[in-house]
Amino acid sequence: MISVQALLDRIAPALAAASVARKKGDGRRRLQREDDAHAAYRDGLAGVEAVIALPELAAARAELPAPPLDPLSEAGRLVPEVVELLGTTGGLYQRLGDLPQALRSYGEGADLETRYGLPGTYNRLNALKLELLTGGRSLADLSPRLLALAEHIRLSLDKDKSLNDSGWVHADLGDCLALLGRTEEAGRAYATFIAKTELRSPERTLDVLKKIAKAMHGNADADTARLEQAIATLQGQLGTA
Amino acid sequence: MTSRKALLIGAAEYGEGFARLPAVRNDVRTLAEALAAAGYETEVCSDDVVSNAGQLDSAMRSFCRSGTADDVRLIYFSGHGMRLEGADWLVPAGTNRRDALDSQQRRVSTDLSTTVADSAVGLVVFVVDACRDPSDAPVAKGAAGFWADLKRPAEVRFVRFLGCAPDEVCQVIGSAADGSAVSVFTAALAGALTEQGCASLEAVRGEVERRCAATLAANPQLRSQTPLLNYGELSSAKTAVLQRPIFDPVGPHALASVWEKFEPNKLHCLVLTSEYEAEKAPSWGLLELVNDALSGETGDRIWNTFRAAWGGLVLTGGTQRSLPLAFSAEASVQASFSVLEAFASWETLERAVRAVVEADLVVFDVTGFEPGVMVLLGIRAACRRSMTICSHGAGWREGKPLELPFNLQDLNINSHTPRETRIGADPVVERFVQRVEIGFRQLARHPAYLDLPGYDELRQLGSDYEASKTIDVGERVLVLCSFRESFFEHWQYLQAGLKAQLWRRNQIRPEIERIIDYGTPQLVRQGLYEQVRRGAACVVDWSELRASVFLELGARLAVSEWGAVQMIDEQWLPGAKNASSLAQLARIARLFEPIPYSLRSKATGAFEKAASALLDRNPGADSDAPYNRVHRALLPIVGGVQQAALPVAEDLRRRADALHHPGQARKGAPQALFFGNRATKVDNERAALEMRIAAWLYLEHRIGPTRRHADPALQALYREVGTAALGALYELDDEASFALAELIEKQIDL
Repeated sequence: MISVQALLDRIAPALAAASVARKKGDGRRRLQREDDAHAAYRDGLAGVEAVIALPELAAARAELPAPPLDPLSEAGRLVPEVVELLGTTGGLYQRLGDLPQALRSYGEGADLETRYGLPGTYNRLNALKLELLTGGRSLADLSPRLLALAEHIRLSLDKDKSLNDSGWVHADLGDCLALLGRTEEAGRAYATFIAKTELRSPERTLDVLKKIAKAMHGNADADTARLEQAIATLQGQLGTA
Repeated sequence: MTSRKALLIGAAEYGEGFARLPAVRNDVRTLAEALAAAGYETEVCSDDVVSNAGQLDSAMRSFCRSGTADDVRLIYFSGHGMRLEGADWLVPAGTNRRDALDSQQRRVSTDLSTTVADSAVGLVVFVVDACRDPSDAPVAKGAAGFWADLKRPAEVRFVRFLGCAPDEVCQVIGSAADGSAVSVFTAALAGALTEQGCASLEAVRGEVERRCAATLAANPQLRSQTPLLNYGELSSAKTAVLQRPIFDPVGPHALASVWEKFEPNKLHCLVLTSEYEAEKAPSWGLLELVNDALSGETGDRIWNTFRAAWGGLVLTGGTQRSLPLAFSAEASVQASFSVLEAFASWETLERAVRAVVEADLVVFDVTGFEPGVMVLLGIRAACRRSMTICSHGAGWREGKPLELPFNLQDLNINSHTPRETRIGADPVVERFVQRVEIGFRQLARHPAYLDLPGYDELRQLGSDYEASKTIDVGERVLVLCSFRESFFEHWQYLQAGLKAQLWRRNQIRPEIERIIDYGTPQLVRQGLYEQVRRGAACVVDWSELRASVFLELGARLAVSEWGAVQMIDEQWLPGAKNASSLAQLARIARLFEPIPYSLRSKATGAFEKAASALLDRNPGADSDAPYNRVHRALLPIVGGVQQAALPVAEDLRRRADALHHPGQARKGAPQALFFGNRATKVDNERAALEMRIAAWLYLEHRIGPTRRHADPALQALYREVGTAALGALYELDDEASFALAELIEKQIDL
């Protein structure tokens, strides 16, 4: 039986390599070198999927305890890393255009986030976004879940002030609020996100919103114009147009 | 360890038939200070005992019996004596002559030879300064045979030291610091004990004789007086006793607990106790606190954080500190000594300084902020970045007001005042352990961790080639002294005296300034330590005995090859009007020899001497100069305990991470202060990227694959900085950056 520490030692470099691959692919994509971008994304994906496929990790996931999770326990250390791994996998599939696979990964991650009441919402939010991208649901349908997610983030931030350190929590909050049409609040959340995360990050998240707006337009979603207006306002506020 | 104790008996007031002896109190005080400086624990006999013959005799004999074969016991009597029925007697205070003559119950024998013979004690010295008034001649002066005839003349462990020879009297003169009477013999004995090299009875007798003769020569009204040793039969064993060093400030086992050699794979812990603690000797004090903390589960906790801070680090000599996982008695070295021991001699001071600098964890007892403790604290502050706990006892508890010295205002002081109840875990120990744990954690994390002032200020002078340049005596003389209003007149006097003599000697007019006189908005602390390091000329005025001044003195003596010219208003010298009761001052003065001056005096001798010292010192040419002895003693030590400069790639990695950590985006707050300002964040991320590229290129080209592959840590670093760099490079939209990123990615085989 492989130890949790050994698993963590496998996950960390895979995540680092996937992050590099994602940035490399995004860079190639900005230069319209789509083949190179896909190659980079696939490299990153190969690394994280190899770890996810480890029988030892599968066994450990099968033996995860019932909530609540003690953050100092072995499971408490493993679960957030697995959630990260699944989110990263989902993100790479999404970049490769394989939305069903992306949704599957986000879904698995979202289940863990929900089951253990984790403060992170990356998988949950991206699962919702994918539903909009694929046209499976309208924005109006998803609004209650988006609202609940936004409230969950706010509560988490109130409960643990150190969560404010993470730019991505604010990005998720900003996304939820932007999709809900609460542009001014979303702007504040994004401003915090931009201040706290790496320089290129805000572009990536707004790009996704634009894709959602485009997909909603194609699906004749009634809230499309509202989202497009929100994106335009945010771009103006944040100087990322 | 040898123990040396002295019992001092002064009988000043007598009944009818005996003269009053006003010099006695001076004598007792003077000799107590001299004996303390010579390494003796002193105890003054209470007036109740001194005035009761039975109790006095019992106290003396009990005192004689209190030691072991290594120990020395010294009894000093100043008062009236007499010889009756073939035996020698002391007369207790309050006794009248008739009673002393009539009853053995009203006088006390000076012959302790039988008591000593029946005891285990190593040596008893009985110093008798009696018969000091000619009017007492019939019963008190040194008549022939007065001090002869010991009951056990062959007992080598009993020696009497008498103030005068037969047919002479012990005399007094008005030469005490305040002009009052003092005994010629006691003054000579106290003086002899402060002489370097006067360590044995034989040597002291010679010096006392010389000093008495000088006093007699200067005071023609006095009659002949020849001190002598009285020890019964002479034998080779007796000769050895007379030559045994019993007045060297601390015996051969001084600072015995201090490690002989720093061992990089162990925790070195040192406790420096104050004179207050040594005198009061609480049943549970700082030593007990540290011992409790370093044992059992709390010892493990301290060890774990110490190991996290120091384990694996490379020292300047190239040795890596390889610390075992588990704490054990073998994994640590503990030492302790008192400030009195530290300043007992140059040898003990050098040993103390070495321990203070080498120790990974030093606990200073700062109760009362005693001068000697402050000097050693200043040395520690200047030389070592590790864990230093300053602890205060004497009833003070954390959170209560405490007046801190000027230079130590931001010190975070521990309390070792014992807890009030004995129920449950000791909160005093727990607080101490937590303090050490947190401190070591901070030390591990923070490259500029400080728990004392001065370390960085002494080193970070800037990169300009003149930044560390010596400030010539012709340019500036730094004066470290009290800033109190009460000292202002001294300051003006000192400044004028130094100015006049420097002009007279070399026609130079340097700025003679305290640090607060410098015309700069720079923080006093930053400016102070720079001047302490760079100035060739530094005068330290001890007057008022300010703790800050002694702290600065320690730092100066540690870092400067020019040393410090030390001065003091003579009123503050040991034994003078304003003198402190601390015995350590006599010892420090004996080592550092401050130049005494007399405030408002027109005499220029002190300033001539100070000016000469400032102008004549040449550390490059002077060999074994006393003025930079502390600094020289430190030179071979500091290299063995300091962390070596980090390898350049690791240094760059840490600096890059401190600007923008790769894990920050996911989990942590941005390192940049004011990260909400985009330009600041852009600048930090850019600088971090360039540092990582530089580190990677160094590892790629300078270290090369062969050395990297042989060292897993280097290879891991190579991959780490490479990965972090290429992630950022891929986000720059230019082909050159992309090409470099691809090269790095290929090389590190991500």
